Amino acid sequence: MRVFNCPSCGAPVTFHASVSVYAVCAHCQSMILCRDVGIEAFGKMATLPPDMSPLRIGAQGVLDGVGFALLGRLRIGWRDGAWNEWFMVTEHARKGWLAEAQGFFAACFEVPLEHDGQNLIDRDFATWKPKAGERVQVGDQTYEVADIKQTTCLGSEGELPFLANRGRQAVSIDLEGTARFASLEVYQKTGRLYQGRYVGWDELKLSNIRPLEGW
Amino acid sequence: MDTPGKPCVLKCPNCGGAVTLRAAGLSVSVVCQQCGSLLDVAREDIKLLEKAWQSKRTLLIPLGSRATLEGNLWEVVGYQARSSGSSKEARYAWDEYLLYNPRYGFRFLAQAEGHWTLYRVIKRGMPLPRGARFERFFDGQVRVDYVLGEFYWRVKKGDTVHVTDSIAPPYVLSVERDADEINTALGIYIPATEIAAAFQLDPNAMPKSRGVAANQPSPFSQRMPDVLRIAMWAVLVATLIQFGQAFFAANQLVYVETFDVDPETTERTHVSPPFTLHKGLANVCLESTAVLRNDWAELGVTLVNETTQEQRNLLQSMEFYEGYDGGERWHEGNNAASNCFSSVPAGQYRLVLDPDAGVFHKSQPGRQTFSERLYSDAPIWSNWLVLMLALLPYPLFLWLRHHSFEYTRWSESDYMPKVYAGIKNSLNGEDE
Repeated sequence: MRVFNCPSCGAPVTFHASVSVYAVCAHCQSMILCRDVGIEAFGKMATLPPDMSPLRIGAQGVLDGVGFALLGRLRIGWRDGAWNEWFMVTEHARKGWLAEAQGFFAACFEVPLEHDGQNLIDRDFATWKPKAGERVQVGDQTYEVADIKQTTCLGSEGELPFLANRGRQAVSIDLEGTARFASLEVYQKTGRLYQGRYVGWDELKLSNIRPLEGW
Repeated sequence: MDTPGKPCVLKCPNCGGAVTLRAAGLSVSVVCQQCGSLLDVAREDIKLLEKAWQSKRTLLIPLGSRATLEGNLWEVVGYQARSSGSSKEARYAWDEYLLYNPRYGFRFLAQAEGHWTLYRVIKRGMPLPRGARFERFFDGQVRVDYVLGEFYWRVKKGDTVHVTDSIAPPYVLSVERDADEINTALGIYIPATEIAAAFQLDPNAMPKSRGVAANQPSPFSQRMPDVLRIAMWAVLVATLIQFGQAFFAANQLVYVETFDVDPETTERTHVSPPFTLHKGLANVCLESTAVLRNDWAELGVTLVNETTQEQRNLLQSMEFYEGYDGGERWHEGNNAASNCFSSVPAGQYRLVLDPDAGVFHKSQPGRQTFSERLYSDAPIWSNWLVLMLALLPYPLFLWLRHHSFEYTRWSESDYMPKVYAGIKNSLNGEDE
């Protein structure tokens, strides 16, 4: 855990996870980037619009017997709506995401696309124009492209493993495999692969959740 | 963000009225309850897509109503009226309420012809009910006719999707396709009384249930398998016991005699020679045959124990008539009779036979011939037959009611099973 003073307002800004490099000051909404040489503030993040999410930063839960905590949130918009991506870190310091969309929760973890310097995916992100239905090979797994969404970051809060400024544009590709599903995020010609599954509210045994009026 | 979550109240850009977003953050489209305008709330800015899009309509379950279903609390946030079929006769319309719980997501509560089904969206990898075998029931286009409240998808006017319904009552699996996506939902039938109680609706104001719903469980299907199984076992056990008894019965012939009775010349009463019954408490059966032609005969039978003088009685009646009438030969009656004494102790016995016959009462009385065969420990089928007659009607009744129910259900489907379709065709054939 690293604690800094916000360069803009002086309030303490905590980086709980070593993998976090970016945070939004909870006090003044300044965006803070953590570099080797120190921290740097640049611009302000607009407050996220009010919603009915039962999750919040600091909420804790259990996934497959391993505890995790929510550290930050991305609000992602696409053509027909928006969803939340909660940044989580497990007690084994594994970073993952808890997606909250259309009343469903899905937990996923990043899967490396490189192994011993070998590229595991048979696509070049610089030139690839994905189409629904095409087959993608990742290591020994075969996937089919199920859906392609152009996404825009609508805002963020808390700490995150990358700089997520408003307006950050990416392509989100849903992949369906025989055994599992995965999601590929292509941002500035680099791809990140996430594998996961749907999780039920009760299964997550969440604590320190957000109070909801009337619920 | 440490502020508690609460519904968002927006101002309708058209009428200025308050628009409540109960599923704020998830909702994409809202129809203003005051002016019926279609609003887009996918982003922070509210966009007015269409002014006064919908007329006002009073809903059976108003937006904002709450109810506990399947153990969780739900709030009504949206309503759609949907229909399939274009022609007036084939049109099938239903209500669909969108229910929301911030932790458990969304459910759809559909009402058609007074039958209610609660749907949940099924994502890839989610399990279906164990053992359910789904059968295709409906396949066709479904339209959105009316919308009110908020939705987590973009509502478009005249939205049409292709729907395929498969049933395994009380479940229905509904697959909806449009150009962009495929959605699967699993529904379960919920009795109207439960819905009325959950939403505290006046039971008398509920839509009257008509016909059989696609996924309505047959009221007989619950009992039928058990009843059929129990009946089958009972029949099997009774039949095994019966066959066992028949196989092990001694069926010993202890007395055979043919004799004539002529009231003019002989004594009417006929006494058999003594015979011994070896097996204790077995039955004793007498088969009598009278030589008859358009006449009747009776035998008063008394079985006498020679040691104790204990008596057992029974009466055997025989008759046989035949003739030729309207070009057809007919006959009726039976000139033989078989009756049993049950549980007769072992010992020395005689039969005392007291005959009467039609021929005795004629102006010129004649003689009557009787043939007797007496068996000890004979196999008896009558008890078994009575048991079968008692066992089978109820399962048969259930079976018929169940299939009548299923027939009514499938009458509404284009995918009627062949057996029912055959019945339907033959019924229609008779009508024409």
